[in-house]
Amino acid sequence: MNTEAIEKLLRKAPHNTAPAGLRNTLKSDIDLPSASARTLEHRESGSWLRRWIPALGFAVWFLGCVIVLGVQASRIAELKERARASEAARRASASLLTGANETPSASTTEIEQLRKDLADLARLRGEVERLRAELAELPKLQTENAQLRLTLKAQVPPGPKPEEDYFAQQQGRAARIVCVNHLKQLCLAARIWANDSKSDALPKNVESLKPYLKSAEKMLFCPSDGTTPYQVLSPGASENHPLVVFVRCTIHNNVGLVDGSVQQLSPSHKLVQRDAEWFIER
Amino acid sequence: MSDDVKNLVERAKSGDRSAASQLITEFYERIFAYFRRRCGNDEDAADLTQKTFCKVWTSLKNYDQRSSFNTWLHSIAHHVYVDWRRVNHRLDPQSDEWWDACIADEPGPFENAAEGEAAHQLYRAVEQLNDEQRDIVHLHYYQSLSIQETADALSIATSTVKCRLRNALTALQGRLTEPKLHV
Repeated sequence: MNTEAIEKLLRKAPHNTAPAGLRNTLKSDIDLPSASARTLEHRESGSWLRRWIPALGFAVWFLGCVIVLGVQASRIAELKERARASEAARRASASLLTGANETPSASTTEIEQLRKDLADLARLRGEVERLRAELAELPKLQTENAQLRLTLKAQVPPGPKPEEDYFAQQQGRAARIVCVNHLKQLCLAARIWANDSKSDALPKNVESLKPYLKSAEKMLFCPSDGTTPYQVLSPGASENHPLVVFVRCTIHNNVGLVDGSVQQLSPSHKLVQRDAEWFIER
Repeated sequence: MSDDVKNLVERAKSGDRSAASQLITEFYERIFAYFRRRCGNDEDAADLTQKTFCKVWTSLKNYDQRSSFNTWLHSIAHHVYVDWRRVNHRLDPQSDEWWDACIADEPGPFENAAEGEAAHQLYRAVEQLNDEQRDIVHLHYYQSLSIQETADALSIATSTVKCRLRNALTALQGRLTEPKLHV
């Protein structure tokens, strides 16, 4: 079905008839405004003042509010200006009062400072007097001090005997060991000297061993006192006789043999000379 | 608007009850038919017709005749119907028996039984349109208002009326060409 046919059918839609009493009911319900009321309404609508009274009333009220607000705002501004001026005046007077009070306070501070300085001066003077008195007593104190030292020295107990001094014993033992070392170095130097000399005889003195010793100034003396030289017992001894004593320490009784060894001789040992060479015997 | 109706309106404005009676005689059947189609029963249609004319008499002093009285009357009727629907929250489409009765009462417009059957289906399809399209169809086709009058009655633009009419016709055409599920 096309749209034209549809429109045609829609326009042919049937109309249902109204109920019989509806028209009378509608006619009886007619409630038209009366002519007098309409006339009054016209008259009322013509009254310009009555129509505009609400708007005018609101306008007057609004205008009044605006005026009141304006007056109040100007009054507030005036009061603010006055308050600002009075605040400025108060600040000015306060600054004047502060300036007037500043001078006395400064002088008072200065006086206080001077008083303090005076008190310090008096205290320092007293200190000087006290120190002077102490200085006058200084020689007397020095004399007392010397006497006390002497007294103290007199009261000091005697030290232990060398035989009983443990530290002295240990020190002596250490020196003896160092002495053994020196003799060992000397014997080895002598053998090297003999080798360099292409002979089997050792040197006749220790001076010729200096080039072979690193610290000849120390090696040639016993460390106990540093001044006692070692004694060459068998100068020019042959290397073929290893038991011959070549050098000796007279302090520690240590001996160095031709073979390079070193012995610490006890009291039971003694040295014996045979054919210009020295040997150890018991 | 014809001069007679204008005259009657002016006289009714001035309080002439006979003129108001003549206006009722002229228009009450169309208004009743409008409500009858939209409400689905005679009682509601009669009540709404009464309400409509009551509003007409109350608002007659404000009628400035910028549109025709018929348009203004249909505008009031449409608003009365909308208020009624809003209060009752219902939409009662016409029953098939009602359309049968209408067609049987007035066999004249349809040329044959086939056309009557097609009209029957078409009127039922109209009730299945949405509210906007249905308002347009009722006022423009059933109440025979022009495009401009329909637009004035519904307070919408004429272009809107045309658009909705086109959509309504397209929708109706689509519904009528659908295969029938129930025979």
